[in-house]
Amino acid sequence: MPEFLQSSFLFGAAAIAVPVLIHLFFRLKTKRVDLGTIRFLRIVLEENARRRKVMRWFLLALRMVLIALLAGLFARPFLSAAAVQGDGELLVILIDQSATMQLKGEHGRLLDQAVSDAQRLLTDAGERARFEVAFFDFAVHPLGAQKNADDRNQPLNVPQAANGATNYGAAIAWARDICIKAPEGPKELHLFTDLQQSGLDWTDVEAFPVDVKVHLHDLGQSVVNNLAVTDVRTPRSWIRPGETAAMRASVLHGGAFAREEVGVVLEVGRVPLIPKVTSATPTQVDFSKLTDRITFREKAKLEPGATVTLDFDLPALAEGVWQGRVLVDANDDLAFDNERYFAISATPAYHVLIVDNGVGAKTAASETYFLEASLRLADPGETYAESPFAPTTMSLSELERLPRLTDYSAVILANVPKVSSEDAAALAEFVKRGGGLLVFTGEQTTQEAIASLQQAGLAAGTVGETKIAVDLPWRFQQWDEHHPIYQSLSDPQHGDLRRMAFAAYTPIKPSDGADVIAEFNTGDPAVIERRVGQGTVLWVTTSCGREWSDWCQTSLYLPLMHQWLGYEVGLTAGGRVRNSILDANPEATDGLPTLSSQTDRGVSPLASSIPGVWFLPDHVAVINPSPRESETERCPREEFETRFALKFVSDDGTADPSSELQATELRRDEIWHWVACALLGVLLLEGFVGNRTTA
Amino acid sequence: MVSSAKMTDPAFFSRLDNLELRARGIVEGFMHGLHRSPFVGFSVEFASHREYAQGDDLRHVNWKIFARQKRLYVKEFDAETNMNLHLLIDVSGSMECANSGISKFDYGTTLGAALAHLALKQHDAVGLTLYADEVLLHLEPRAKPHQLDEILQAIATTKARPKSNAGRALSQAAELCRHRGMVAIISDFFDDLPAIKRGLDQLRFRQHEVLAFQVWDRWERDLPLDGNICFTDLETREDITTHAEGVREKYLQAVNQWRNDVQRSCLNRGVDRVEVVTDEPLDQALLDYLVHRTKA
Repeated sequence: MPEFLQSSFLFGAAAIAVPVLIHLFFRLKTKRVDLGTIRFLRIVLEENARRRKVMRWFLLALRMVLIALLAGLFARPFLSAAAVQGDGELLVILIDQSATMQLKGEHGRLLDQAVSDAQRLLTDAGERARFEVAFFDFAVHPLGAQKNADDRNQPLNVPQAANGATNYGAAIAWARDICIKAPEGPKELHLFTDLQQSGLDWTDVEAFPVDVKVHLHDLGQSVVNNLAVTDVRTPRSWIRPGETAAMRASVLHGGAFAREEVGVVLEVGRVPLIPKVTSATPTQVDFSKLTDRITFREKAKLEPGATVTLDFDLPALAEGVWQGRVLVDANDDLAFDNERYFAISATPAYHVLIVDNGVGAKTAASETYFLEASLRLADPGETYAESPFAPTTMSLSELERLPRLTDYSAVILANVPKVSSEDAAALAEFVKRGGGLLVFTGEQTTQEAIASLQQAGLAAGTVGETKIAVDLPWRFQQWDEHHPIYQSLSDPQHGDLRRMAFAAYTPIKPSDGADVIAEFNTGDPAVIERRVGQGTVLWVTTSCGREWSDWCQTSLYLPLMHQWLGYEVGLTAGGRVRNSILDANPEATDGLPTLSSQTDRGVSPLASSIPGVWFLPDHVAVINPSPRESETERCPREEFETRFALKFVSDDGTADPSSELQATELRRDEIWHWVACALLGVLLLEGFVGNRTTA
Repeated sequence: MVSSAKMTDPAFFSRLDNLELRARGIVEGFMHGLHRSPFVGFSVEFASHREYAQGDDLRHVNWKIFARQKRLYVKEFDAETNMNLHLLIDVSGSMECANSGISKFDYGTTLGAALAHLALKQHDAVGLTLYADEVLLHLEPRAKPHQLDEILQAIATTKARPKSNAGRALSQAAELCRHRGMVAIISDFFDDLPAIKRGLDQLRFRQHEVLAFQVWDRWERDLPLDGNICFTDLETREDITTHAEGVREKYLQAVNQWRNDVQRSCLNRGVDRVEVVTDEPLDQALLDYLVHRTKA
């Protein structure tokens, strides 16, 4: 049976008498009209007198029901939980595992204390209770539903590494979803946390269900003596060998008293040998194994709540990967943010071998003239230190064979008429080892010409006859905007690829294993990617010169060439050194892949949540804790309640939030919306019947 | 000066107590409105000229011939043949329905008086029969000048009878109207349709040209009412209470069905049926009469 929140409104049901009175009143109050004859009225009324009588009473009943429903609607009916609950009580437990929960408390780490309390809560719960347990930092890590007595007696696994930032928004949203989806019945949320101010997510949140009792287990400490390196940055993480680098570090003092002469140390060293890793096993190199180690030591005076910035000028760095860290040489309560990592790649420009057919002989008439210029970023014969590529152009007709490819990072074949079987095999071996091959087609690209490449497993498909535009030029129609090549070009404001026009292209029917990542407006492939071993072959089905297009003169030519070739050598998707922080805020990750996501060539070490310099097959990932987490200020309990629109049960456990809120807030088990639907239905029916009922 | 349009307005004449005044006013107004109509001059037709003789009316002297020949000639006219107009007016209780300001009885008697006046002005003989469940009064057709007075007197002194029996009354009237002529029936025809048909058949059998004026009250015909209403039958005094808006659609269907039946019955018998509503002017009724007058 439904109960009512505002039962006084039920007195309004007495208004049921109103339609009866109106009915009677209108029967008494009639106007008299004389007619010459009422024979026509009699004809009408005698046709369906019985039906009209039934309809009249039915209409009266409908109007009485209408009044009753209206009174019921205002009385706010609800089905009591006891009447509908299936299983027992639902316990949702959220345990904060952010970095600040490493703080030492009376019984060990705050995190250990939280797990211990949660374990006790599970053990003491009733036999029919159900559990949902999750740890959270900048993301929620549910342990899965535990539904029986055996589950709750199993010990909770305490996370050892806790370095992430706090995001209460994600945790509360997860708990809210669990509570809303759960069957009706008593529900409780237990939140174990230190109420860190910086964990409040200021995005919009939905109100928490009022029928859930929310218990706060506040484990935080009012005063935390914390020193943190919150930022280490260099203007460029990729320099030329022999270049110097300027480092800037920020140190935050979160304690209550000023500290004099705090030592700040910068250590940097060269990785002697890049470890051979697979995408599934990212690796770290211990600082003790670094060569050419350099150490800087500074002293800083830190005021409470202030941040001090220190500059370190590194000497000229030799070729290689340099990894380092900045740390504060002092004791504090939180150790996770006492050091911060960085990496610098001192690498010369990538050598790129451009192979063309020799036509034009290094003049502007040459097919690869603009291609080489776009990669060199300098006039012929000159170089530009900032250019990531060092191109070398060769004509295949002048060579008996290709040069030794181990000196190059990538090879470009530009409308090459025919490649010998030996060269094709060398190219295949080169790509399998991780080299990049970029192929542009042209007039001389035929199925016969690429036969050797096809035999070597480097072809993208079957080449057809060149398609030449008759009236309108061919254009790029669509491309994979999520591909690392096109991510930076997905925004039309950065250049619309559709504006480039082509007079002809080489149609290629992609073979198995080849992916089309861009298409012409005819639906034929414009760019095809094929993975071969550890390397990639990209086929661009048009000429790189001016033979089939004027795209060399457009502003998109250069960035597109750099994206294609950068993808081949691993410069896209963040480059060789990629910085990220353990935070859910996408702006803080510098555009790098977010948590647990797949990079273009492997699994992100972010999934491990361990700060450090991680070596992956194609890049170095530098992971640091979020500087947000170093801010240990606590937020008041009321602010937390306001922020997430919930009400904590008071410490004595006597307050029932649903009873306090029932006058103004909505209960989840209210069924007023069903009553409203019934009211609307009866109203429509009344109108329908009323218009068709005569006296 | 009162306009000719207003002279035929029933609302205007309903305020006049004198039936003769009403009838004369309506006819004069109607004729005034027809001064350019093709009916002008139908009462007398030019025949020839003859020499003036003492006592001739000077208005008939052709002064144009006198101007040319210096001799007096007068114009001679052929008087039209007298026609018998039998007015059959229903004075049953249903004719007392007066929801639009004027009752059907008043409207019908006014129409009858106007027709009588119009006919007498053309030297036609006019007779009157008042009927309800039987013939209540009958005046033989005469063209004498005071015939109108007798007709108006008869109408004015007759009270409506509650009962109606059009079949019997029309049969009696057919027996009484012996001279062939035009019969104008003014009634609401709220009676048994076969009986009405029999009465019409008898009138037609006597070679009468029959013109049926069916008089409606607006509320009877369209039921333009809302709300819970108790309707009373003026003849039987029976009551029916109902919501007018709820039955209007079906009511109109029944009324239209009845109108179509009456119309079909009249057409089958060569009777012209003219439908008049008490809130509409009498022009159309008089015009219809005149059209039939020329055919008779």
